[in-house]
Amino acid sequence: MKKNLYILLIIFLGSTAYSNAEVISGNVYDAVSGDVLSGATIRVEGTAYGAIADRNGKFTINLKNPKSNLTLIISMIGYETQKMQIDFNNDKIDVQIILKSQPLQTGEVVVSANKRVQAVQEVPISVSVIDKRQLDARGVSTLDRALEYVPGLEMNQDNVSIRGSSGFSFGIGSRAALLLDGNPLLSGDNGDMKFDALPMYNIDRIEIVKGAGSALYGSGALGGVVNLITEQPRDKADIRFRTYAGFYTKPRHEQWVFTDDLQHRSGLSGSFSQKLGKVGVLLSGGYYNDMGYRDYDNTYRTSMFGKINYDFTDRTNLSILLNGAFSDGSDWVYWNSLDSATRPPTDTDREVRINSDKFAVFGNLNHIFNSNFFVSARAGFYLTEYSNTLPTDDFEHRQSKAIALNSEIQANYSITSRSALTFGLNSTNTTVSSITYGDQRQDIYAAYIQNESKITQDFLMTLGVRADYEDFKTNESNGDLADGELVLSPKLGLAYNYSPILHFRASAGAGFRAPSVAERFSSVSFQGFEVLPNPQLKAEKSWSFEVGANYTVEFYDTPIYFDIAFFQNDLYDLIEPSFVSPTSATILFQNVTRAKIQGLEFATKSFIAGFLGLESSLTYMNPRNLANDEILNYRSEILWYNRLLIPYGDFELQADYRFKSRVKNIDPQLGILVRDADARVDMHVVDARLIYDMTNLTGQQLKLTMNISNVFDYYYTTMVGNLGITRMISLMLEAQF
Amino acid sequence: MNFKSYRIIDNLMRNDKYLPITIALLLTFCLLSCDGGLAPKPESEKSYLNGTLRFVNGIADWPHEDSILAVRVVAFKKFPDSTGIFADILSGNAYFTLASLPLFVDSSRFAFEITDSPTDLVYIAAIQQFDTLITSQRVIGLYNISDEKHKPSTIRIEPGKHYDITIDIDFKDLPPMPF
Repeated sequence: MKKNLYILLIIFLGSTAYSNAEVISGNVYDAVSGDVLSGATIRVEGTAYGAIADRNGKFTINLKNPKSNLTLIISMIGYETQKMQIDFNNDKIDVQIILKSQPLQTGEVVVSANKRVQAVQEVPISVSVIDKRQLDARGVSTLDRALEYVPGLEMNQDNVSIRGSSGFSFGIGSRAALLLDGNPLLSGDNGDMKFDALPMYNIDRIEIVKGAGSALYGSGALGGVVNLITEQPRDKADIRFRTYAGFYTKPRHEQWVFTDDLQHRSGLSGSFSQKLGKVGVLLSGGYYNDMGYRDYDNTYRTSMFGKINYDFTDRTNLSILLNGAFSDGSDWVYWNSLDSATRPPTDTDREVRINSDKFAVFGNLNHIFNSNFFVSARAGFYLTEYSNTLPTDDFEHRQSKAIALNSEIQANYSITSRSALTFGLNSTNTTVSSITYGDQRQDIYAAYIQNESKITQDFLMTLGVRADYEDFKTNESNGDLADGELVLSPKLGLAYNYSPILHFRASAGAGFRAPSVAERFSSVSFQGFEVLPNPQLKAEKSWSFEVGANYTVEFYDTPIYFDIAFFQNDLYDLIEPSFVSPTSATILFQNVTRAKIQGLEFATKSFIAGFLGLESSLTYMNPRNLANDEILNYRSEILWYNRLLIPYGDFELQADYRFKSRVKNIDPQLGILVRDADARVDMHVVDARLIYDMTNLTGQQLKLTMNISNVFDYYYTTMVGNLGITRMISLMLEAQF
Repeated sequence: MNFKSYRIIDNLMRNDKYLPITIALLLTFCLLSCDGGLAPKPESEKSYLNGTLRFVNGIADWPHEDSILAVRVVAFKKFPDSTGIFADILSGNAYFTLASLPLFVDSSRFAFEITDSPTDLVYIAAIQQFDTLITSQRVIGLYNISDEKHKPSTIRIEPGKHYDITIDIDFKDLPPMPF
């Protein structure tokens, strides 16, 4: 009843606001062709007001009591982001916006750094963006494949490591927060990212914030934040299909050939999207299967996604997300040996499978009270369940079901024209029912506040803090629990726009991660290893510091963009899976490590004479374990990622080259239990694709892409005892109606 | 040739000064990726210890299923001491079969590669895991070619050679635990 009253109150306030509305309207055009641009996003800087250009390139924004001077930020994939000053003297103003095409994105608009829309140059911390064009060109259907190309980020098999924050723990206890439209999506039991649970076909962009982000995002954002922003429903009916089929080439080493059959993979995705009046709907689904490049490594997966938007008024809207994924995979973790790197350990029971279900529902209610004050309320749950198919009385049977409930209310208030306050309350309540972890409950309650001030027109300062309290309850008699813990995570950020082409930034922020249920209560036997519970685990914490700058220089009419950042991450009480003694195969998650990671990240991109697109990023890190003054386990020191694109008429050739230096140190005991664990090399992988836009040929929006992953069939390990993906060739056809 | 084709060729001609850059970059990528990466050891250089576990009284003599969770074979390069099997395994002094061999059978086969030949294997044993703790192991059979039933025999492993042995297991007459 209270909830209904609240919604009614918001609708009433919204209607009142609308009655005082003033209007900005206009059209958006392509600078060269003069064509109208449908789908461009127009936002009023520093407010929640905005609109998306319709099929005719038209947009309308209704404002209440607008300031006399406004700035519009106009962004669209494939075009330079533009800012436009508006002098608001009348009730209505009409603007004509012309966007310049830009194959390489440099002026992105981001929402993840400060929980509000900003040009990337104005945020005081490094943010990378993967846009829809890149996602589509690579045809990625899982998150891990999308993140492989992000500067400073490495995939340590199931762990996402942002600037060295994570080692290798089968993904358990992610040190990067994962969000879907701002809603948390780490599993309730393992605290891991389920890479196959995300609607990659409907992702508009992925934002990666590098460095501790707990001052806004709380537990998990120890090393950074990965936020997936989904597409909005289209103005006109939009039906899309994508299908692909491909195969892995035979390994060139005869010992690694395990079958004469073609190891193939294929997938089909489809989506429908339309906005009708106040209701917008986006529905999609997909089926994917992959025989794998290794023996007994086949996976099957189905996914579905829905987004329903309802505009109560111009200022009040509700968005509901539904996301589900169901998968069936094999159950082994390390190779048999380097000599049989494509096979599981001898005598692995091939009848055993792992079934995994993921389902999430989130609601997001937004209301703009006026141009200075708006509120977002988010609530939802994320259900994850997995089990292997062994009998429940088998000592290697594993099963867990977790429900993570999240609720948050966030407000943004512009105190003055130079000061914006963001504050909110957040709770995460996790219930786990598991044979592997027992029956557990974890609750985290938090409050946060942040102020962004313009000290001068070009100098922005951000100051914020978040308080999280974690409480834990268990039905197991696993010894004494650590006491509930209150953690404060402050942040300070400075951004200085020296000129339109030179920007400086500096930031310091704290991060923390409460131990996951799996780390506290795992009780597993698997392939000769045994994991025991440790209820005494406490939160791991971090401090991130960064100083950076970006500069755009014109060289013979070719803009070249540079970004450089020096960073330092101090990590305290790091939780690592460690062997309890040198004489056993028993593993315990323990707070064992104090570490410091210092590094330099350099990135550049350009599009030379409209002919050759280049992107390159180099990250050098010195990840030290201060307990033994050695390089941290499972970390590379150098990451060098490159991208090249050559558009020719309806064709485009793209190539990616990724270098990752050899992981020097691993846990020495794991090195003995996993055969040939020292078989680790530098990674040199080239992926290439040729895209043919068939629209001119067929009169229909069709695109054909030939993808070759690992073109030169370079063999490397993704982590200990795991061969990385071998050469795979596929064809992908996309259609839009 | 249609208009579009002319445009593409025209683009190429006008941008020919960038072609060397493009080709150089592509070649760099190729060269960096062309060393091939990891490779298995040639089969001719590898040594293997293969063998048969023979349960002398057949299936009927196996202990109750609650007390036998796995059977493995371990081959030690030095005689195991009181620190237990896993101390030697973890310090790299022993080879072992990671997964359990078949249970409740008359006989079973095993094989593992010896990666640091030439070497002597001085104590080769079949071991039984008797509860869920991986460290709960007991010896149930020894490789023995001498007249003394419970005396371990040594085998010399040479590079590129395959060896085949037999271990007899008598659940009614188990060898002494060396640790």
